Amino acid sequence: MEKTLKPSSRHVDFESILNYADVTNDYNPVHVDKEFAAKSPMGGIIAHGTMSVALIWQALKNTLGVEALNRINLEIRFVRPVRIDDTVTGGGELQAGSSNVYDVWVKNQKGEDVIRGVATLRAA
Amino acid sequence: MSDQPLFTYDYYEPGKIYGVKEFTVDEAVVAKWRTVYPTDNDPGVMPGGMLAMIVVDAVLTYNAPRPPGGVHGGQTFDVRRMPRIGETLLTEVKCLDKEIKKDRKWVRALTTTRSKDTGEIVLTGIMTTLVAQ
Repeated sequence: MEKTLKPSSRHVDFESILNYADVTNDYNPVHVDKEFAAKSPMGGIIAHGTMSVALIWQALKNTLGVEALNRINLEIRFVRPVRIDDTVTGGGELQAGSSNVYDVWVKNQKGEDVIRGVATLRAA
Repeated sequence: MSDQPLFTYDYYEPGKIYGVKEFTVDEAVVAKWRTVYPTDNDPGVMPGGMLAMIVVDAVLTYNAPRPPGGVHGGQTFDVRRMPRIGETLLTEVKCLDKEIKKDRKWVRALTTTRSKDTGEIVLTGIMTTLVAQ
């Protein structure tokens, strides 16, 4: 088993957030309405959390292969918002002493965690 | 605007099943996904990121209209097998539990996604949301 997941990155701009809202039909105003978001506790637009989760799935697939996705249990927490013009990277490392459990994460360009979690690969 | 009352924290009933949402993983929806994630282009394979889309689509369908400003706090995905392109899925949405912690209102929705054709479970998930009201 690979010890490190191949990282996957993307830049997040307002257009990509709007496109993601369109794809997922999730128009929560904290994602798409700058005026509302500025007055909310978030203090401005945040990207959909699941927009960044996709990077973890990409890292898992690019490292373990597409068939492995049929056997994944993924548990994640959104620990910090992703803002317009952030660049986020998803990746992970095999837990010490484990052959099938990865600590997974998405980090922003400052190296701050925006998502933390665990991916467990069941036996084939 | 909807005539329905807002789906606030008080409205959630732990244990209640709110409905079953149909979602077809057709080429058009995958193509739309790929406009945002162009590298998710394995032929015939539904991108893993779309699992969240299936879950969120179902929850937002039944736990709505939501007070604006809620935040997705966490998510689990237990994949039994990845959905196939062309497959139609049925996702049941159930309120698992709810809790107020430090004046914050948390709700967890349990989703169970099955193949419409076979009834086979392909995905279960728990979506944790910090609701705005």
